[in-house]
Amino acid sequence: MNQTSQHDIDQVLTALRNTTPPTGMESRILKAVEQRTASLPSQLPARTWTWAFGAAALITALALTAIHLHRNPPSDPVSTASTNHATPTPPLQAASVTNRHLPKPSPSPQPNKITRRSAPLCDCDPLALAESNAPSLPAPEMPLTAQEKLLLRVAQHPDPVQIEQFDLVAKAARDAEEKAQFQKFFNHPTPGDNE
Amino acid sequence: MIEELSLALPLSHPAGSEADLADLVPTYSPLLFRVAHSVLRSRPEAEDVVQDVFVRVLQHRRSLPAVRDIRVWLIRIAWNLALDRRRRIRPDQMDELFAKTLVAKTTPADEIIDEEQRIKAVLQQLERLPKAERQVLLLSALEELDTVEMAKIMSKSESAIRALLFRARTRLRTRLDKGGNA
Repeated sequence: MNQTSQHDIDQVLTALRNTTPPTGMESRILKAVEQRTASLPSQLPARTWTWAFGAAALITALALTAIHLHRNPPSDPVSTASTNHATPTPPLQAASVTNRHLPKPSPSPQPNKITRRSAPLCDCDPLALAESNAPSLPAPEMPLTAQEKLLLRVAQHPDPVQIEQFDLVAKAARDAEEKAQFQKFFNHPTPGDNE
Repeated sequence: MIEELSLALPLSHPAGSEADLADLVPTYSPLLFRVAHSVLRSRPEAEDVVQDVFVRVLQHRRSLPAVRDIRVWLIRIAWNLALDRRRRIRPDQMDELFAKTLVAKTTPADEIIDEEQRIKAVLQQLERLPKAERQVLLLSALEELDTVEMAKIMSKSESAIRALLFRARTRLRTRLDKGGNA
């Protein structure tokens, strides 16, 4: 019985070992793999990608420069003449020379936006990135001064005396009247007082 | 058609040499077929596994230079793919046909049925073995693999492979002697 079991085991294992693949399996596999190869996207070498990225960066830089020059024409004789007082050359010529050598600050705020876009923030600083991407909101209101608070209180609770105090002419007239009454009272004593 | 495939793949045996996929397929597909067939015992399923192996090779061809032994690497892929496919099919359903193919044509008619029954019993008890023991026994049946390669494929030590193989043979023989009740 034991020998029979061992014989059966060996027979099965030998059969598994001697299994032959079906006819034409290799050609079918090669055909299937070839179809997969054709369906795979074409992969360019790394050097090609480098050239592509370089060309794209160059085109972008040229486009930004063209936009900048289109929005800010280089002719500005007045400012150029002020920067070049020593030379008695005509303004147009001076402008061309100055524009060639000195970078002139642009008067309009639009080019500043372009310059800011061309230098993006580093991704390594998330706080700076979040702050730069946050929506622009107006500055918070400043606290009221003491005079403004007084004005507000007077406007909300109108007091005629306090309102009248803000009128300087009326206040001066009232003060003058009070002073006159004071002087009149003390400078002209009544006859009955000395008696 | 074959000449159009020009994938540069390293071979393990001649170090540093290169061969294309058209060379790998005829070299390794019979071995990979036997590996898959030992797990699945179905010829169409085993062929599908071999095809999947070479598709994987195509997909991971960039990491091939890091492969030290491409033979063991391919067998391991086929082994894992066959085990995955085994979860979807039942190899015991194929045992009827497989047992018939094993019976010799010269066997007398009255012994054919008895021999088929015994072969089916072996296959049935093989399926009832613990998973690791069954896998080691099937890998050892391929005979092209030594203990070191089996240890690499199954990610176990060589001593563990030897112990599993001994226990698998002993357990299978004992169960068959006791009529499958051990």
